[in-house]
Amino acid sequence: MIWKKSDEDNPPSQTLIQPPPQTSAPRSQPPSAKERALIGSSIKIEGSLSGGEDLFVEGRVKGKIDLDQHNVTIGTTGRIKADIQGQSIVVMGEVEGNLYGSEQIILRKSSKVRGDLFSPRVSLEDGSDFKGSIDMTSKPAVEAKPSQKDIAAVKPLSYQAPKQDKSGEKV
Amino acid sequence: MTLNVPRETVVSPAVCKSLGLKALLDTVRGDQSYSILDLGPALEENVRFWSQFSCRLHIQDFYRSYRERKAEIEPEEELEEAALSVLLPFSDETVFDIILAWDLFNYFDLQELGVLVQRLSCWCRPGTKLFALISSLPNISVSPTMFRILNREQMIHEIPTQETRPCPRHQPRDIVRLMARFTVSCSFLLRQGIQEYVFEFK
Repeated sequence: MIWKKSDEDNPPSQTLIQPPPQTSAPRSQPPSAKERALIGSSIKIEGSLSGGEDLFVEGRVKGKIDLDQHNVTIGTTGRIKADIQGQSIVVMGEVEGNLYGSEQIILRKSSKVRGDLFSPRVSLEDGSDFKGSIDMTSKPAVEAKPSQKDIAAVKPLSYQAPKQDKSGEKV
Repeated sequence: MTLNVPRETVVSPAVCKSLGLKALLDTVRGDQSYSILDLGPALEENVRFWSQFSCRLHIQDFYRSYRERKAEIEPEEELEEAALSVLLPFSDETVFDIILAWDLFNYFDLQELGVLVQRLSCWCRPGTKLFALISSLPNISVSPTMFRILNREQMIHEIPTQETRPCPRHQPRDIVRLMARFTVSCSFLLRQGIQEYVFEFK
């Protein structure tokens, strides 16, 4: 008999094949690096987004996106009015706000961006409609901030009410 | 049966040597940080080229913004101070070390250029370089050429459309008068009938 997930409530006896040891409660572990949250094209969010997994946005977000240890992708239908912090930021849709990429920022040809870019590596494809500045003088501001790795690691994607949010301010 | 030929057809891009660009870059040092205003559109090659320097690159795509504003808001409006504050939204404290005007001067008359240059001068310090290409040909493309930097002395001239318009053919004496707060650091006449200028703010 092989131990199955459905047997969790009735653990198998010692004589049966054991499941791999678990160092902590499985349901509280952070999602793997390949997991990502999706904000669909019909979704509108106003407020502050943060969390511990990659994010793909096809909808509308107004406020702030703070995923400085994870990748943020703005899809072709994504419409963002927010500053974005991420490890790698890829834009295919529209963004009005500053982008802080601790590793890289990529503006695809379908992108329209109004704001400033802060990242050690910036790639801009022809056809990208970009107006703003690209800071290539130093490390991005996000790297200078205290690490939020521990917080992000245990925090699922969360939503903060707009009244607590001061996003939209230029940094 | 008729063929639908697009009205705007990209002309084959040409690789051109640019002595003006070389002269400009000869003044750029690897151990300093630069603030660069690029009045042209965002181009992949140019961002990649400037990324080898420590710099902050401000991309404004000035002509397109100007055309959009003129078409949508005030069609009869000339380029004036109020419009510039929208098109070039920089604070008075801003200082640029290099301004890339490309061939923008070919798309405005001297009066409009006077307003533009006066505004740009607010963000210059002594030594600020301004790079411009001024055509002496009778006609130019209806939209500014896209200049893609290949290396320190070569650029691709990419003319976005075959449609042409008359060129104002600004005379050197008018340009010198226009740029009264600048000196001509160097100037080169290219075979294509384009004069490259590197101006330096006094």
